[in-house]
Amino acid sequence: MRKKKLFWQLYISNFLVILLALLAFTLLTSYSFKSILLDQVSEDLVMRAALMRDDIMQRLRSDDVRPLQTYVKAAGERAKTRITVIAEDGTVLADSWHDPALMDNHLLRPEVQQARTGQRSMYTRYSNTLNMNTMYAAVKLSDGAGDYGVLRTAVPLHTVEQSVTGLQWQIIVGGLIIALFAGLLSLSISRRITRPIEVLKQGARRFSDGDLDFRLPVPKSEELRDLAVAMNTMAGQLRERLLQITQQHGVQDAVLSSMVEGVIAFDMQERLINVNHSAARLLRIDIEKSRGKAIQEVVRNAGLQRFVEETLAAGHATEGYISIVDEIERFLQVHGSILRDVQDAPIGVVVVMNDYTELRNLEKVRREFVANVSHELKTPITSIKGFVETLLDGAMHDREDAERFLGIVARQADRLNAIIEDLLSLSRVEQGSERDQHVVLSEAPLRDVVLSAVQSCQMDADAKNMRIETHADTELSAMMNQQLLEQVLINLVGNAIKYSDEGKTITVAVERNDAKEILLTVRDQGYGIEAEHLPRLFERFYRVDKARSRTLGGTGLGLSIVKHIVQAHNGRIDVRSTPGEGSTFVIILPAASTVAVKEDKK
Amino acid sequence: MQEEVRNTGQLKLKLLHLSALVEEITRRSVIAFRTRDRVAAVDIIKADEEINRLEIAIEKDCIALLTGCTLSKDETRFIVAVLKINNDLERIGDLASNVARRVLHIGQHDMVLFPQELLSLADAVLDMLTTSLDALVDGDIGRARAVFNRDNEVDALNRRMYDVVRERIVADPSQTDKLINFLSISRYLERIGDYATNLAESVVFIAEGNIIRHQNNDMPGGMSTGSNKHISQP
Repeated sequence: MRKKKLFWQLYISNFLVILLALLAFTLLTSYSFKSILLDQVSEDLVMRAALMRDDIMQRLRSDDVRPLQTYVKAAGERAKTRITVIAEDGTVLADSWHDPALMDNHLLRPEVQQARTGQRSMYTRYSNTLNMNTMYAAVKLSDGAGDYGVLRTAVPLHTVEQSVTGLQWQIIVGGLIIALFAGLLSLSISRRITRPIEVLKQGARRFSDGDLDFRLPVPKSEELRDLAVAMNTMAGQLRERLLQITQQHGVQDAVLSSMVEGVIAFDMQERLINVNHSAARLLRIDIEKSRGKAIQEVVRNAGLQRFVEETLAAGHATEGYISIVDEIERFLQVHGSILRDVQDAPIGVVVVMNDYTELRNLEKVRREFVANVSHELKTPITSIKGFVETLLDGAMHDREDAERFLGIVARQADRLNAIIEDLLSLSRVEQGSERDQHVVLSEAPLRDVVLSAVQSCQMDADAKNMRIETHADTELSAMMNQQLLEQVLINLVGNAIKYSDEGKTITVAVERNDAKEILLTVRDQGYGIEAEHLPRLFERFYRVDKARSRTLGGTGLGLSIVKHIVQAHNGRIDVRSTPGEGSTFVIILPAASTVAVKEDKK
Repeated sequence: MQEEVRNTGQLKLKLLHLSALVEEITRRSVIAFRTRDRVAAVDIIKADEEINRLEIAIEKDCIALLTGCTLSKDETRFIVAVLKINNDLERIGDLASNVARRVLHIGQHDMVLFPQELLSLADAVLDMLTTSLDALVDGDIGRARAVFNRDNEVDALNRRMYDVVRERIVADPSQTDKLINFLSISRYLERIGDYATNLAESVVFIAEGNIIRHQNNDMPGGMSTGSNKHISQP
């Protein structure tokens, strides 16, 4: 159905009502006007007949009909009336408009019939003689002596009809003019009724467009005023609700996005509903582009795809483990729960992901440490035990063998001692920093420490024909435990010597960077370390090359001790290495306090 | 992902599931050889079975769709491409588990360092694979074409590996066995790169209907695919 505007509905119906009323009025008036007119004409006819009755009776009494005819003709012309005198037998004796001789017998005319009975008669009918609608009145001509016939008067009705039609036209023209004015009036009335509604409509549209701060103007009419006030109230409430919802949404969003755990939700068709920042980062999802897409398109992780499918199929909360492989493999614990609507019908699944890679690595490190420490201790013990048993079995009586075996036992005991010493010093440094009982630090020049450490290593370097270069600014000093820092440097330089070919150069440098931090650098031209090993290099017993490390007398704890000592100095250690070109270890100590600054000014 | 598919949309999702499996296994095989992780290597070799099962399922789905219902031109082309991509993905899975098998051999020889070329090659190949799968997800022709360019780089690195290994063998013949393993890994990875290029070509085929294999010099934009040197098409 076509939509109609209220304005046109109002206007057209108004206008139709006016038109109908006018039409009815026109019909009614013209009808009553016509009947009044006809009444008047008939009255007139009767009166004329009554007036002429005596004159005609007088003339009838004489036998000569000619004076009658003359009278009738003259009277008829004066009165503009057709006058007919009809004898008792129906013969027309005289007629004002026609020659009576030519006229047929009028006895059977209804008005004549009725008049003969003595009544006044009145008829409107078609006249064959005149060929038009005519009104007749007839009276009986009689006195005490006897009956003479009937006197009939008649007028043709076309004059009446003409004046009625004229009047009708006047009424119609008047009616149309009235209708025109009424139409204009009704137009403006309709306008006045619908304009406030139009204003309300536009206001409601602004509400629906979200402009809830807008307020409708209050119209004058009571109904519309109530409506406008109600709508204004509604807009106000709506605005408040919306604000509440937005705030709640904001809080939820904030909670979700600040969660460390990844949260991701899919609908029943496994299409992405929402994902928080943690999960988006873990799974590398572009949140805006991915909403509504299938899991297979969004998350290229077979484990999670399978987990979501299984959770949806199971219909209840599930748990599992998945891994994400990028440059490294990350391990996630996943909890899946079914999302339900208010009717408790399932609408999707939400998965919470917990990254336990760090935990897993720590656990791995711990397991390996226990295994390693047992292995490291067992090797020398087995050897000592074996040789001591051999000696007891009789080898001690052979002096030469006994000396050789005891030599081995002594060496293995030394090795055992070295490992235990390292473990103890490691645990001392570690415990110190854990319990906040910091290693005692004091201000000392770095040059002395470097030179002393290099001196300790010089013999080993000479044995491999290597050179150690030192670049140390005499003025630089730092807060340190001299003995421990020297141990660190000896360790690093010792490694550099061990893992380089003969004849290479080692550089030890002390300098200051832009942030006034002190950099202690040990650079070698040795074998280098592959990038895979670097993150684990400072773990206890972690060895890049197990066999070679042991042959060279390493305990596997050296770098671990280095790291802890540096940490006890509030510093950090960094390593860069290119396989085949050499490694660089950099110890970064915090900028020395005011003392160093003062020295700077000197 | 085990139920049968009823239309090409579901077929694509199933294929994407397979692609996720294959990408993971490939990345893990690279991590396994870089960290010489034998435990991970064994896991990877086992995981290949799942890929093979899924490949067969997808092939059956393709045949069922091709024979079962009336298809538009685009749908038919898509299914044909899926058949090919499916096959390529399965081959990549095989090669990844081959890499893992080599890890079992290099595990013992800690001190033999990986040549830088091999590490760069692995990075480049993984990048190609990821890019071509990204292109497959979105039907992104631009990304697919980016894969074609990388193929030459990978080929060059693989050739350099021969030289590097030859030099090292000459320098220290006792390490020959270990070095040969590196060469195998390099070759497997290079072939994964070739299959990644094939995947990218299939993505273009789905989108444009052009078969751009064996058209080395009249590629749009003057790019050359340089692929299929090691993969013979039946």
